[in-house]
Amino acid sequence: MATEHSTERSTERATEPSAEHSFEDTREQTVDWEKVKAIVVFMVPGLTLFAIFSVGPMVYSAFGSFYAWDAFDLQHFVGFDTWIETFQNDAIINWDNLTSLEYPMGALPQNLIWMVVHVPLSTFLGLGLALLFADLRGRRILRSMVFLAFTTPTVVIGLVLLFVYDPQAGIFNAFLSGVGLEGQVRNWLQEPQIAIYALIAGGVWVQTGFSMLLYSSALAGIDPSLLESARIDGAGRYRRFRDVIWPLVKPVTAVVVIMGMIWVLRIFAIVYAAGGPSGGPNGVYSVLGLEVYQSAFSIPIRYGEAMVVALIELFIALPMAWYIASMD
Amino acid sequence: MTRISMRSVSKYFDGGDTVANYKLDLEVEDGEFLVFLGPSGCGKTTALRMIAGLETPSDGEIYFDDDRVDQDPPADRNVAMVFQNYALYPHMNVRENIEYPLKVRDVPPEERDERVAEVAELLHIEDQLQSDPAEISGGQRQRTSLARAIVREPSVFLLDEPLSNLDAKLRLEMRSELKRLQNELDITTVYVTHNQEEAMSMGDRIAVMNEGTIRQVAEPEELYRRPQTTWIANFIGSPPMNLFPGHRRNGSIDLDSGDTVPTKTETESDDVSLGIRPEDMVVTTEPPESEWSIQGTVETVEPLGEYVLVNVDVAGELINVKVPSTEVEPGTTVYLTFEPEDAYLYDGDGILVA
Repeated sequence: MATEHSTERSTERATEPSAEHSFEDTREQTVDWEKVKAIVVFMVPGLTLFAIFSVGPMVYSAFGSFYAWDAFDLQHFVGFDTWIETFQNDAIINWDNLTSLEYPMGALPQNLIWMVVHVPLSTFLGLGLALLFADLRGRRILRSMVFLAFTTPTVVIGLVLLFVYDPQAGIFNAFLSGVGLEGQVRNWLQEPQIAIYALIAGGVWVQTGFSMLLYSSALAGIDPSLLESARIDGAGRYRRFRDVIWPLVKPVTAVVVIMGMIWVLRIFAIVYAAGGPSGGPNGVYSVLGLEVYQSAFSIPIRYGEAMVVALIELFIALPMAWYIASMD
Repeated sequence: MTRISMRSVSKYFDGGDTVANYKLDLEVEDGEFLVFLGPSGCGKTTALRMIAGLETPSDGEIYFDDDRVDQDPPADRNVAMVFQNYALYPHMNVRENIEYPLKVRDVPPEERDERVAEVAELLHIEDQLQSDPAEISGGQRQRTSLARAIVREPSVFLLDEPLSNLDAKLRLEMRSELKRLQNELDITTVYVTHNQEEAMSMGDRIAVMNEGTIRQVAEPEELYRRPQTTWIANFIGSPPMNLFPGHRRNGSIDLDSGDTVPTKTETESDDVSLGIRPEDMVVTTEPPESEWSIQGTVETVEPLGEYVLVNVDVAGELINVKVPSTEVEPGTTVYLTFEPEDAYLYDGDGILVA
């Protein structure tokens, strides 16, 4: 009975303002046809471009993914055949290796692993650096140095990683020998079970600059008297972070996390530069972007599969884009 | 129950280039309401922040009773502070804001509830406990901030211009509320303001500050009756005291305006200033018999309802006179007369002689 009553009340409450709202709407519409016309006129150019270059290709590839292709020519309807083939393709998902958690697992799981490792690391490193640099002398230089990686073209980052991890001349191995870890010296980008993490480290280096920059401005936006007040209230460093700073930078965390996820989803050049079109030996660090490229532009051309993989990326990215767009 | 002692406390910034405070010596008695009064940038807020522990003195010592605290972090001093912008945590509701200092100090939840309810009632914000700080009015935010400060029964209560963000009516209301609260709780309180009305009405004693130092510490009445320097005389009162520069000669003073007034007071200094409060002067159009009069020309007349402010030009200086009512018109030559006991004499260094 109680629940019935409460739902009744809530619907009552819900209808009340909406009735008011629609009344206002109708009143506005009757008065402002001119305004509606103006809005339409101004929106048409933008909407046209959006339709041609965004919605169009999406609909086209959704449509195309159900057809057979001869190179770039549309053939006959095949239903879900391409979809099923794609999910059985070892390059996309290697089911056997996936169950035994061995690389290569295929581009889709590898891309998701990349996301799971990369996003928390780059987020917390960025926040850590932003906190560290907040009251430091010379913070501008330090910030620029960290941010520099983000401004560097990702192909260059891939090449730099090649040099860093080079088994003979690479500084990473030299560093390991220098600190007495000769046993750890190896060919980082060719070891199937490790290579992807070596590349993720490079990605984190890039993304950290971005998240640090966002967090720095978020921290600068916190009223210093809030932190002073917390100090007087008796909060130590950790509690000030947990109770004041962290909740206040939460919106930025949401942006950093989602931008990081989208960035990883779109990753291509670093992987291509470091491991070629196959994505490392047997594709141990291949990602979705690379597979789209492979299917579409290497012989034999499998255009339908390229569309399916691109759509998988889209399905993962859409909710995140939606979340970012609906943020206040 | 804490007595605060500042002993020769100085604070420098930028490696000594900026002197915020220089050799402050001050005793705040247990349960006293002391006000730091001074113009913007006089170092009063820095002094307060040193008592709070948000700044460490460059020099000197601060004691709470007999414990030296100047190197302790704020958390160890059991002080509470109300900030000018209230500094309410925007992501917590009113209740959580008030509760926070107790939570940090691991007070058990039942006791927290009890104490929050108690202070909420004391400050009349029981109905706002579930609201966010952004939803409530300025006065309610102020009360929340006060509630958060007193909820854990601090030994010292510090307020940094807490009323300056409120509108005039609310400010008056909160002024008496604050005073009542301080009387009830009997906590040693240091209050910073640039508003002398606030200082005079609330303070048990007032420390007038200028250029980083304390110029005079006195009870409000005493500060008004006997401002020790020309600077304080010029600062206290609305409008402040009028000062007439002049020279002492044979038991009388030749004012720069040309008038001569007799004086009995002895001083070493030749250059002196005669100070008279606007409310202690009378405006007449006829030359008076009294020797204590100064001649001038009326510039403007400002009827303010409660009194009329007459601005008189005396030898290029604008002199303010407060009278209950007046007939004078701008341009009239007038004589400003006063009783000899209302006149203050300052020597060449601006120090009060009599």
